[in-house]
Amino acid sequence: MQKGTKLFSVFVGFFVISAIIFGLSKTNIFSAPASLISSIFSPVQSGFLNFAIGIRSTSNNNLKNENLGLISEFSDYQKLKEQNKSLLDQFQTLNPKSSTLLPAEIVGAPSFIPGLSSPENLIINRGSRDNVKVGQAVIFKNNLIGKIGKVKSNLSQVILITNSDSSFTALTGGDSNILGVLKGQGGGEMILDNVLLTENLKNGDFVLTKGDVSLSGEGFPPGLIVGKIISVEKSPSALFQKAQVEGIVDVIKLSTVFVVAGY
Amino acid sequence: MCFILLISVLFEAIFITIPLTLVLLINFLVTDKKSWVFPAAFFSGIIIDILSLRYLGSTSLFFVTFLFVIHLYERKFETSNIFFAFFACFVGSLLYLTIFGIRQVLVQSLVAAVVGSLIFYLIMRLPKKESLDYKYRSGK
Repeated sequence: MQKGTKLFSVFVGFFVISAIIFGLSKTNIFSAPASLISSIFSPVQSGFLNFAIGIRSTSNNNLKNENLGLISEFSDYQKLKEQNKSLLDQFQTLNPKSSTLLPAEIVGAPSFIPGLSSPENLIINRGSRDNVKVGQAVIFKNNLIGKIGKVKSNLSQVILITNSDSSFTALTGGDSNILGVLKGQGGGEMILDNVLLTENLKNGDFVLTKGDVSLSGEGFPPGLIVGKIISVEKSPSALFQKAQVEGIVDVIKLSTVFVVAGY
Repeated sequence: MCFILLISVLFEAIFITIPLTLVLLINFLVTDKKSWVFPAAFFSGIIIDILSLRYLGSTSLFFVTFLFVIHLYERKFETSNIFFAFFACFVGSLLYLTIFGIRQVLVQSLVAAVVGSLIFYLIMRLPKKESLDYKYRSGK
């Protein structure tokens, strides 16, 4: 009976403390101790993750990097061709300047089966003290990775474009410029939805961001590579057609990403 | 025990979405039945909240409450068996994954329950002398 009472009182004590902390956590009262603890764990997290990534990425890294570079170059070529054709005197599609990019190390990428299933979110070691804000785009080379979802003083959460809560306007590259809505499906999958039936989607078409940058500088810059169409679903009885989109970048293998911090 | 919990916290924050820390805490409570599990649950929950960018205290609140519910079961039923460990890990994981919005709830809960049963089996296989030694050191 005594033991039961002791356990009960220990439970009540910690329950009350947890409830108080939870209630106060919505204010910034704990930001200083929390950032101290996260800065202590950050090198351990990145070390763990880099060790795991080192184990996982065994072969074909050079070929994959070369492929990524070639796809990026092709996309640049397509953009330049479009620009010349339409006789614009300013960049229609934006390659974010290096001065506006903030490099960030990935310190967390939790998934169901590490190395096999895709994560839904990433944790990076940049936060509000580095002027990271919710809604800013996160990229790798010319590829869109996601956007900032939560920000603490020295950590931020990146919501990946494959996250089932992710949705934004996108268009196909090249001459087609077909507009649609890119929706994450979870598990590393995406679909390009709400495409008019009259449009001609083709396997192999690149999907790029349309651009939705707000006045405060948050949002996706235009022209970033989202992925490539691998299958098209077109039914005459449906209102729209959709396409399965495969990402170019293997997020599991990344150790560094870049936050588009301004323009 | 603290080191194992710390490793599980890091794994949960970095690699996996399965609630490994919760599974460990359930097994510690079911096998040891001591009050130290509650402060361990509190502190590990706080660290998970910091590293996973959740509201501070949310995970601790869940851990402490769920462990207490398991403790209430101990008063009525025999809980030091693998079936209860499986059931508690499954239900705990189900609730945890649902509350914190993690996908593939059912599959991950099943995996967590299997892992929990395995951990329970391994703890129970520890030599009796070690557990008596611990009791001796803690003055029981």
